[in-house]
Amino acid sequence: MSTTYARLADSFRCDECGKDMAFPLFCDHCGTDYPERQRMSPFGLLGLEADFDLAEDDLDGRELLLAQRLHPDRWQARGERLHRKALLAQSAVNEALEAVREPFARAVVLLDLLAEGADVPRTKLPTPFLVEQLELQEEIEDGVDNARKREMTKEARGALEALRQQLSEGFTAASDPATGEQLAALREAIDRSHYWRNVQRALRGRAPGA
Amino acid sequence: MKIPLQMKGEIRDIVAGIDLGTTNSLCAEVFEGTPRVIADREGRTITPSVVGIDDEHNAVVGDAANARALSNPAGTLRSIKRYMGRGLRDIGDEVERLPYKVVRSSGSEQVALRVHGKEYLPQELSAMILGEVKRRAEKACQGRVRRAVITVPAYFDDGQRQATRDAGRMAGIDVLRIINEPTAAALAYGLNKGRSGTVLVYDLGGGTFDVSILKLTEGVFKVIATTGDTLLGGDDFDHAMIDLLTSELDDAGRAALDRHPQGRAALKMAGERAKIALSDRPESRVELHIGDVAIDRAITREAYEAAIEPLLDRTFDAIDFVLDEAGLDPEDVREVVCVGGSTRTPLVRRRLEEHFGKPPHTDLNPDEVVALGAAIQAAMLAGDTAGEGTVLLDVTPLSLGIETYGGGCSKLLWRNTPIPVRATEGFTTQVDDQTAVDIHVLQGEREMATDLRSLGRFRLRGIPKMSAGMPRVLVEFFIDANGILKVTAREMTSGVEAGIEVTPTYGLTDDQVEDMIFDSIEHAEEDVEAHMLADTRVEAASILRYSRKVIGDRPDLVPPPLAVQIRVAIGGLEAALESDDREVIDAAMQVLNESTAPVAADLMNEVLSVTVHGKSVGEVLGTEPRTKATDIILNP
Repeated sequence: MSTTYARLADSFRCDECGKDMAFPLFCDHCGTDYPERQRMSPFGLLGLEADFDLAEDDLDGRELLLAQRLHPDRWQARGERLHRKALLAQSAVNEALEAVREPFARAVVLLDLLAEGADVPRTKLPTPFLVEQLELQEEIEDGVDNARKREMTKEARGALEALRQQLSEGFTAASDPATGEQLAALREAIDRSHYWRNVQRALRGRAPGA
Repeated sequence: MKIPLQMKGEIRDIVAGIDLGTTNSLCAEVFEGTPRVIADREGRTITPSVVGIDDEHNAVVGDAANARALSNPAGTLRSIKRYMGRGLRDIGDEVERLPYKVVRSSGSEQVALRVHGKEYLPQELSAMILGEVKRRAEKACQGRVRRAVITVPAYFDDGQRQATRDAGRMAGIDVLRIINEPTAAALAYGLNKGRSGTVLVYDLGGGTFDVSILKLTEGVFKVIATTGDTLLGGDDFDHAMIDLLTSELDDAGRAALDRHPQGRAALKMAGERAKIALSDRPESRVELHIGDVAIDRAITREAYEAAIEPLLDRTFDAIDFVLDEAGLDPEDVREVVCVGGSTRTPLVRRRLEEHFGKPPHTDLNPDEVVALGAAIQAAMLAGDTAGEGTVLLDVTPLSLGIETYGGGCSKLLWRNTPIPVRATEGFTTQVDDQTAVDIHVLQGEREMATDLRSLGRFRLRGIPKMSAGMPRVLVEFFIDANGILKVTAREMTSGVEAGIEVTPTYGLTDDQVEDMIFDSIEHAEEDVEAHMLADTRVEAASILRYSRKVIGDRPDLVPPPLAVQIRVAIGGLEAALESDDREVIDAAMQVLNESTAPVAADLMNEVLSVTVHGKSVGEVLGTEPRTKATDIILNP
């Protein structure tokens, strides 16, 4: 595991029982909850560094550990009130995991953090790119054979991989605070990924029986 | 830890796992640390899920009901599970062939079975089965079954889960949890063998087919994706066999069979026997005399396999679908687990091995594996040590959303999202001074509200009068660990709140659930287009209203040449709205947007703190994936 809460400014020790907490919103020892921390970023909640190149294993590791400590089934025997709190805590864990699991969703979260609340407007993507995307969508809509489908699947995967790479480099290179240009470049890569993911979605949508 | 051996005369507390099946039911427990299926003195573990009701309304369950099936066809009720939590419209026309009537129950939307002039709810009948299962277990173990985990197909919706829970309660059981059958199966295998990796559970039961992908890692079972064909199972294999048996009869012979009160039942029993025999033998002979009709047929395994091949193809389509959804190839699956008696069919095993390049797991009895897993989960929930370190992370089987203006559906939770989970989304009003909004909760995978299953409606009243687009209505979905949904809505500027526990008036048919998913794939394109057109129209209407307001209310902000330009653009958009061409509307909207842009910012700051719901042209094409609210509220 690359990170722990200890590295964050605020290490989470329960005010009530004094023990280290696995999750900042809810003490997995005594059940005290800390609703004032609910606006923390998903990374902060999960005790992970806000890093685009998050290792899948770290995420899985957190998921496992948190489920073992917080899952409401584990709190079944400790009374309705604590059970309810554990239920909400596990739900907060699931939401945080969903927000950062997929790389391009994670990029949106990171961009927000990097922009410190400022809105980074969508970029105006170049016309040739948009035209290409339109044509791909139309082609899929008109029906493609399996060979072409595999080709397009590969193309979309390749494009997304390149964008992921670009985001990885962009987030690594971004200064603190990030410049407007850096933010705009990241935003553009994210915007482009949406188009490619829609291509993927359209391709997958035709999967059964096609 | 060893449970101390019971003292003489002491009543043992059995924490049971019950597999309430379409065809058969079983009960298991964790005894002295080991899961086991509870057998009676004769070694029988299975209670047939059959209820027999005589003319005097005395009920018998299981083997006793089966024994009287031939003399009491109109009072022998099978496949009761298919009616749980259903409405009459949900049930297919196969019920017309049944010797008893499936009717709308008096007093509610759900179905009831009318037997000898009296109505029985599916929950009541299931409760009779559970009661029998419970009694048999109590007798065999000299204990009491007070608490249990009951399993359901992964596909069961809220209503069906609720009905199952109610049946348990009617049978005097405290239902600790309703869990999914494939999950239970994986639980049974995982704990017994200590394996980890990606597991595919192929569950071909009596009446339903489910396929699920699970990730097993130390102590956590996570369901990644699940799908199924919920009107496919061993019953269909029986039908295929019956068709083979009767294929040489002439029309008169078939008609005579149909007329004979016990004809169908006898044929079904003979077919079932032949089917089971063919699992071990290459050929099975059936001799049968029903009234004047004589059947004497030798059925080869080859002929039978050819007959069921199309049914199996459907299961493999589902496998490919669920693999694709999980982003996996067949090679990524480390283990394949077989559940359900129908997986004894040699062809099923052969095809699974071909597909995955490894033989499926069949070490545990496929009829027992679900009950064993349920027992493990029950022991864990009851605080027993058997389940130590095991947590089950389940997912929601169908997407949930609410209807938006224009007939679209805004999905708040996608299928296969881990539960418990909460999701929120903000909406606003469409008309000035609107004081109430209807929240229409929908379930399913299609895009348009009319194609989705309505789970319930409620109304949020008392919104203070404001201009359209000003109120902020925050809708929250919360699904608890049992998969039960709760929806609340709150108007944020005033704090007005409304909520419902969503209990469907009648659930979805399994078939419909299935259709909703596969349909959505087939109709994805037309759906998306219809949805986008509806969205575009709403957005256009907002922009028109807003633009008229700009030039009407605030001439001070709009220099005359710009006013002319805006008026022209308004006319253009009005004309474009006459058509159903989204691109034309989009283009006109764009023109209007651009012409009002210079004054928009000034006005925005001044008048609106909340933006009008709408999307840009770019967003429509490259719709952004919904990101979950990051402001997690622990104490709502």
